[in-house]
Amino acid sequence: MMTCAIPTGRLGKQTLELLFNQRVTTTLIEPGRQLQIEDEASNLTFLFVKPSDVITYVTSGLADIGIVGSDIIEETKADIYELLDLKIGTCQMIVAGLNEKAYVENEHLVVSTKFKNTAKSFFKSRNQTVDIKPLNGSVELAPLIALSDVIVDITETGTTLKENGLKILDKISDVSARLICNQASFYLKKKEMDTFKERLSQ
Amino acid sequence: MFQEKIKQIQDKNQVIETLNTFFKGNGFTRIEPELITRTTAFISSNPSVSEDKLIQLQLRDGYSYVLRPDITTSILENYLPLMNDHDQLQVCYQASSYRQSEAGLKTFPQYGYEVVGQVNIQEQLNMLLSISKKLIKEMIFVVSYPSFITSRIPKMTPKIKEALSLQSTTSLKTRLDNKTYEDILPYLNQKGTFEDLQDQLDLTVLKPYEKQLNQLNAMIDLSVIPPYDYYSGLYIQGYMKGYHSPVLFGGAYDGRTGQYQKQAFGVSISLEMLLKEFNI
Repeated sequence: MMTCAIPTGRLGKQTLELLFNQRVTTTLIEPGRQLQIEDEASNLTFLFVKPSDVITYVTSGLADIGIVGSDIIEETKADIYELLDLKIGTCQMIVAGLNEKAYVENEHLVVSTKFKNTAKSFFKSRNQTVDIKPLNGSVELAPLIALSDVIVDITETGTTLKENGLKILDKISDVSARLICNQASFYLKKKEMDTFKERLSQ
Repeated sequence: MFQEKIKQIQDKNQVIETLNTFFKGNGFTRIEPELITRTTAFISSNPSVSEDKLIQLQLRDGYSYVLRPDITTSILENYLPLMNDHDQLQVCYQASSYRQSEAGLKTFPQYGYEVVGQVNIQEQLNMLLSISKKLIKEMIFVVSYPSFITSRIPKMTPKIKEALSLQSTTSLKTRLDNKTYEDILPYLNQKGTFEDLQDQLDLTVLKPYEKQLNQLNAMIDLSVIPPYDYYSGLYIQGYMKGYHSPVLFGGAYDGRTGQYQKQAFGVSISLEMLLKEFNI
C-alpha cells in the first residue's frame, strides 16, 4: 500500500482525472470534504492537502508519493526525487513590474514574492543585488503601492497581472505539476513505485 | 517521567558502549570531533553546499566559523595535516552535525567511523556487512559512484547538480546537450542489483566490488549524488522500513585527501535509528 499526497483545488482535480484515465485508479476519486480516502482496489491511500504542504508530507515520509508544482520543488529544494513531469498545471515563473524602467540590470531592486529562494537565486545568477519582501498573497499589489520595484510570481494567462497594470519583464522558468516521491520509499517500495510511474508515463 | 528519561540515557549509553567495543576490537580509536570548523575550510571542501544551510559564527579572532555541518570535514581538518606518509587514521565517534532549516536548528545525532591512509574498499564493504549483520536489522543498501556520472557532464553547474539530486530527467533535458543527456539517461532510469544491471549498464567502476555488493544485496543506483562534494568514489546509503531518509551514508572521499596522498573512507549511522533498532 502506498500513500499519495494530492493537492487540494484545481490541480488536485486534474490529478485525480489523470490517475483514473491512466488506470492508476479504477474509479474516479472524488474527495468532497474527506481529507483521507483509502482506495483498496488500487492499493493506494490518498491524502488531500494544501498544495504547498505536499512536499512536507512526502519528505516526512507520511506520504510515499505526491503531486506538486515544479515552482514549489524549486523553492523548497527538499530532499525528494522527481519521477515525472505530468504536463498539467502548466504556468510560468516570471518577473513583473509596472514598466521596463523598474527592471534595470545592475541596479539594486526591491522584490516582493512568495518565492523568496527562487527570486534570490535568479537575481544572484544576474549578479543583481535585491531586497526580498516576502508576501503570502496579493503579490500584484506590491509595485502599485511602491512596496517593491518588481514581483516574482507564477502566472498562467497573465490576466491578473494585466488587470493590475503589470507587465511581464522576464521569464524565470516554465512550471508544471510533477510526480515526486520520498527517497526512502523510492528504494523500499521500488516495485509499486515503478508500476505507478509506468502507468502515468503511458 | 523522570525514571523514563534516566532509562533512555542508560539505553543510549549501552548502545554507544557496545559500538565503541565493536570498533575498538576492529582497531579504531574513539575521538571527540571539534564542534566548530573554519568556514573557509568547509566551503573549500564542499563548494556546492548552500551557505544558507550553515550555522555561522563570527568570533573575536576575526575568523568566521561554522557549527560543524558534517563531521568528516571537522576530523580531517584536525588530523590530516599532522599525518606522515605511512600513518593510518582509524577513528570512530558519536557526535551531532548541525544545519540551518526553515524551522530553525536541525541536529543530526550520529555514530560514525573514518579510515584515512591506505584504504581497501573491499575490506570496508566487508566491515559494513559485518556491522549490518551483527548490529542492525534488515537494511537496503543503495550504491553509487558519483564521479562516474559527474565526469560525463562537461560543465557541471549548480542547477545541473540540483537536477541530478532530484533525479529530474525533465530538468536535466533542458540543461544538458542531447548527447550528454542520452549518455546519462540509462543510469537515471535503471536501478537494481549488480546481476540485474551488468548486461545493461557500464558497471566497470563497481566491478572490483561485485562480490561484496552482492553479499550486501546492494541496489545499484549510479545516479545518486551525495550531499557533500568530497564523496567521489564508491558511495553508500542505507534505508530501513519506517525511516523517511537514509539511516546510514558514507563512502570513499579520496578527492578530499588526495593532496596528502591518502585514501579515505567513512560512514555515518543515524543514532536515532541505532537507539531504536540496535540488537544489543
